[in-house]
Amino acid sequence: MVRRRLQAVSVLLVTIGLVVLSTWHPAASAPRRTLVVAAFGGTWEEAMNRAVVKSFQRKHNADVVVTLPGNSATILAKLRAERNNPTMDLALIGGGLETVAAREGLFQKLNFNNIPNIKNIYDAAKSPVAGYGPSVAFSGVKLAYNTRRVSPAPTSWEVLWDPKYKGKVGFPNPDNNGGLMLIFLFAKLNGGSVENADPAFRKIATLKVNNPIFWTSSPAAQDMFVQEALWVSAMFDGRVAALIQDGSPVAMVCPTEGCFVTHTYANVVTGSKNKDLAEAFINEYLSVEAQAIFAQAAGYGPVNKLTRLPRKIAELVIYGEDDIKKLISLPWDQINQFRDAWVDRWNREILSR
Amino acid sequence: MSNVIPRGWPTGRPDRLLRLAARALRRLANAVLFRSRASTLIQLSPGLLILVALFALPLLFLAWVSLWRHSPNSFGPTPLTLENYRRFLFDGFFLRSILRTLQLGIVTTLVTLALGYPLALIMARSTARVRGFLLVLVLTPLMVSVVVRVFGWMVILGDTGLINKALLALGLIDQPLRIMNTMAAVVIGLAQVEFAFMVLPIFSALLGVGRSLEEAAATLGASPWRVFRHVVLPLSLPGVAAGSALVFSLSVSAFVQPQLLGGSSFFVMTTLMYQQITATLNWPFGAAIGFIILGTALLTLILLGVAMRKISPRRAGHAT
Repeated sequence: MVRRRLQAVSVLLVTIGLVVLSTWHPAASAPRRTLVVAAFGGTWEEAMNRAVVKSFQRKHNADVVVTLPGNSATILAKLRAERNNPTMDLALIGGGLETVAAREGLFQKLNFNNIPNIKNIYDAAKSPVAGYGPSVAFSGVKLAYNTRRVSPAPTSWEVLWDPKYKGKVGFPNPDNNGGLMLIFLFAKLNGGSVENADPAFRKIATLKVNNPIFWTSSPAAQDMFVQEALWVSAMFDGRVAALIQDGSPVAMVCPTEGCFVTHTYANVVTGSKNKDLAEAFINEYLSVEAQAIFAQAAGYGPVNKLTRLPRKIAELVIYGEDDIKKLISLPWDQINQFRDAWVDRWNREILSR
Repeated sequence: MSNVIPRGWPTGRPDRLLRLAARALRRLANAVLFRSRASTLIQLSPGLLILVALFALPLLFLAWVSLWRHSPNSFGPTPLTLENYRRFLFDGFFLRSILRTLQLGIVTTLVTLALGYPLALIMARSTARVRGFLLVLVLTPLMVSVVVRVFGWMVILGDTGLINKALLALGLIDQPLRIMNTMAAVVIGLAQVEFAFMVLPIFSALLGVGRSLEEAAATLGASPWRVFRHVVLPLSLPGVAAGSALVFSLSVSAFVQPQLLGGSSFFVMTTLMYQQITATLNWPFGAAIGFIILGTALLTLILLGVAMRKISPRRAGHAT
């Protein structure tokens, strides 16, 4: 009986010991905070880790958890789903969805005193809705072409209609933001507007005789360039930069009719308990050093005016005031009103066989 | 029971309590399983609760969203409307996408059935070692992410891909075959992975067919073909039905393969739904398309069930 009681006591003591051990924190260290950042996978995440996350964690005694819901649309979906109880503190979002999210109250206005680097960014990188998060990277949509197959080097979007390249020309669908941009451009060039896109659809329909490849997924289009299923197409510049760096015979040009600049904005999620930390993260992202590392690693243009890039990188990304001025910025607010109509019309008039 | 309690457990009391609890549980289980029908619900309630919370509630929410009116400038409940369903169901373009979806489901089912039945038969008739090996082979494609697998197919099926290069090198063709961006590419991409879902149910149904039945038929003078046609095949039909139902539902709800292998003009319901969610941000319409997919698939499965009951000589479930 005595032995049994001893055993019982020892079991109890061990249990208490374990409980205490598992809940005890060394009192000396200040609590480490955690910042949850929604971003994009692949090259973007790797570059962001190298350029921003590492130095931020060191400086602010915080852990950064990067979550990857997918693209801007899936990040918006997650923001909407978590509206009342967000798990993310900071979200990267672009392609016109930043205004949708800001309008729906999914983002909160920033205290720019916590983001001193904002005074060094280009005007083009400021939020389209006043008070919200800035763009952290420029990306462009330009005309990409295979240098061995397409000569002379094209200077106009009209090259897509050139019968010499029949079957090898590509065109992004409006499911991809590149497609929306081109509809906008061809509407403008042919006397139309966002409200009246008829001229664009008429013009693009004439491309069908050249047997184009209409694509949606940028990685798939990139792959088609490697396999030479595509010789010439509008492409995001980061994708082209990756192709060039991998040694593919590809180059890009901003055609005389114009090409585009788009942004990825960093915003603090409404209801985040780490607003100050998120603002510090944005500040770190905008810093000269982070912008330079990010541009080199990811192929996106720096938004900080003071960033200096080596010549090899500077040629591949959107860089400098002159470069930015040449590019068309899109009236996303207006275009968002017509996404549904354009996609529907595109399905019927351009894609249906 | 007392063997379960480790020796040296403090005092005899927990031991006794445990025994009491076990007895009570056993009585409850007996009552539920064998006697009372009302208490079946009690038994099922934990599972039901999980189903309701994780399955029914999100589905109900989506059904509600599908009745909202879309606006590009706001997202939230509006006065309810059937407009989204009307838009899809009264439009030739969208109706053609339903037909193409069904076509994709049926073709993929037939292809996996034609390839899967012989394999299931071989597996059911081989030794345990061969069977295990074949089983691993059938399941391997499931272990690779669907996107990675599809990108692999893009490399193989492309104009300058493995197949076309090989055929060109052999001089069998002088123009690359167009495989990518056709229904064939999508069916190949789907069939590869859904093969397992066809083979396994048929295999398990065939295992249930005793060799003695075949021997009896053969003794009575039936040729191998007649043994198969009149004994084995009818008894394996429940497996065929289960496999077909699985492959069909997976095919009509597949998204990655049609999107990446079918090309931009290959409109099936899932790709149209995805477009509404990610490109136009018209979630209500996307949700409505989701329910139309669900309805289409359920309707087809019910028809399949009715047809199977007509063909099958015995009630389904008996042979397995």
